[in-house]
Amino acid sequence: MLRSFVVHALVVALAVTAAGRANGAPQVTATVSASTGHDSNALLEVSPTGTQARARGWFGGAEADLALTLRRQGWSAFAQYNGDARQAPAFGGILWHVLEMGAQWRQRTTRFEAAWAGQQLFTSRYVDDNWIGTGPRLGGSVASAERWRLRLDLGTQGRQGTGPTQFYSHTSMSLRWSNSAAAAVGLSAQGAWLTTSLFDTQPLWQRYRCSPFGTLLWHGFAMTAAPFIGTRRLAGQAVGQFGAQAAVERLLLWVLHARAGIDFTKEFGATSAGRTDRLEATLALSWSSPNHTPPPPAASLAAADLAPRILAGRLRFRIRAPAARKVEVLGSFDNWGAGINLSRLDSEADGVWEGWLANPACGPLRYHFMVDDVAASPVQAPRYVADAFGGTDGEIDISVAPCPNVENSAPDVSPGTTSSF
Amino acid sequence: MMPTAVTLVLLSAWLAAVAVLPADARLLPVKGRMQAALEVAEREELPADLLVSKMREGLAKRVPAPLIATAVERLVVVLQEVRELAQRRSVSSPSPRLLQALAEARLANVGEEQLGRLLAAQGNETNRRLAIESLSDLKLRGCEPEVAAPLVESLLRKDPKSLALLPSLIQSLRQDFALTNAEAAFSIENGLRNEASLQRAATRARNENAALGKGARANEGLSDDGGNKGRGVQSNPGKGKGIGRNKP
Repeated sequence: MLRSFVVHALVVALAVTAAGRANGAPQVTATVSASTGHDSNALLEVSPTGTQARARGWFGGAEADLALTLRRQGWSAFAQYNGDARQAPAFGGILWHVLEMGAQWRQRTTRFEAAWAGQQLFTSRYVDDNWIGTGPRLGGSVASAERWRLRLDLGTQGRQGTGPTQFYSHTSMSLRWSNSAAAAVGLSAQGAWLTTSLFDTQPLWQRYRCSPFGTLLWHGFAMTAAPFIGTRRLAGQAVGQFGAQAAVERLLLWVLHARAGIDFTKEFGATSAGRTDRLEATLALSWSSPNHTPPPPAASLAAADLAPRILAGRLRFRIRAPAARKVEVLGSFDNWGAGINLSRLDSEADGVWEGWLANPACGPLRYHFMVDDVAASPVQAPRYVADAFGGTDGEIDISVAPCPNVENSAPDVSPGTTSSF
Repeated sequence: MMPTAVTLVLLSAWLAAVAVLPADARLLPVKGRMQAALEVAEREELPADLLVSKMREGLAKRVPAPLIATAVERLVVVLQEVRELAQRRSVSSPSPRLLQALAEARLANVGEEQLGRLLAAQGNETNRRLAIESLSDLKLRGCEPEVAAPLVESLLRKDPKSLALLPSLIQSLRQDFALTNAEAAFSIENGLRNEASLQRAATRARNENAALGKGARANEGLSDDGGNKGRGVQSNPGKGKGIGRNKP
């Protein structure tokens, strides 16, 4: 048994990832990996930016993905084709085709996150001249930010072929805690099962796993480890599993990144024929342009437009208040006096109000909005200050010419903001 | 003639130095409380003009007079507390701006412990004030002071001129890479260990998070692998994990 395990576990895996990335240019990633008793793989991935299209090819079997994703605000729609021949004899034919189309909605706030996805999948399996159509898949998740994060994912999908309908369901829950020293620990539990109806208590196949995990960032090294223990059951036969995934990542040079990982699974409690052990090691090297920064989300671009700006010697205030009838900005610029009335921009501006302050005095300037005579804190301010009345004032430092060199002058680096103070 | 002119100059200077209640009828019901707060401030040599400004701010925001009075009275108490805190940390005569920054930090619920550490840190008073303002700004953006304080301290030592940039940098890092406040703060703190400036540390943090696969593209799926990177639902999350491959 040990010999068999060693033979199966003697995996030689080598992955070299080369990523050339530049602003506006396609990202190209190449990966080569080899393993004894398992897959030997080469991967080529091309992801032109903007269109979010991706093509991918595998060798040893073979697999190709072609995906097109369109995104707008919290919505995304996608279509993806996948052909896989990994298990086809001598790569003589495509084992299955998969066509997925769907949409996803995602909303994230400071502390919570929710996502829903609808997905249609069609599978055609040429090997046994059979086809399976799969119904929509829905999932949702919620996350609590800051130090603790609780996440719950649920999903189910139906499969209809020439045989009886099957339902594949899965759920996972993880609880994670992180601290300022970049250590994070957590516990996750996952379950997946295949049934002939949604409420079938005797699944055809099922798998459950429990995994504590931890991550540590230390002197530039990012280390992750996730041992697990679990079980899977197929045709009435239960097989126990234990194993671990671990990886160490490091930014070697400014643009050069390395990753080494190991992934192993050992099964027990069944005949050797019923067990599948796995051991895989990975070494990856990649580089990317140091100038590359992900584009800020569209929502934050809109928010950045609401930040105060100096234009032609005048200070511009903006706030979005679609339902308001009157908007003012108050502030230290007139010693918290009458303030300035804002004017509503045209309808294309989505309820944005705007006002100008001529010749703002040098130094820090605090401000606050009044929307229909109700105090409203600024949404996007270079700096925030508690106002002692339960609200928050915005503060900007007017230190542009012809101001003298005001101490603590600070440019506004709010996301997407190009102006500076 | 000359003595009269001198007297007038001195009188006007004295009047300018004495904080005067804003002339607004809405404050009449609480005039006594306001006056008492100002007297305490002047007796204790606290910045009374800050109290007057707060009254004007409350009036401008249409805050009811009793609430303005309560806020001003609380501000007096907080100013006294933070001055004592500063003196305990060997800042014998804190400037009005430092007192204001400390008081506003306390109003933002920044703890005395974190403020004390920044007061005791090396650096001139202006830089320490910037650090305190940065910490309270971070608190108001949702970043807990105990999480942010080590980073602010580190920045105070290494690149104090950039302290005012820190809150918005952390916020943009959070948004771009879907990080928690703690993760964003540490990313920059980690970058500061290897870089001399905040800007370079932030760039390094961006590159590292991008290299680790974080960010909007890496986190778009519903699946969660314990906070690590992973592909989304729509992209068949990794070899052998896609919908079409979940075969027994």
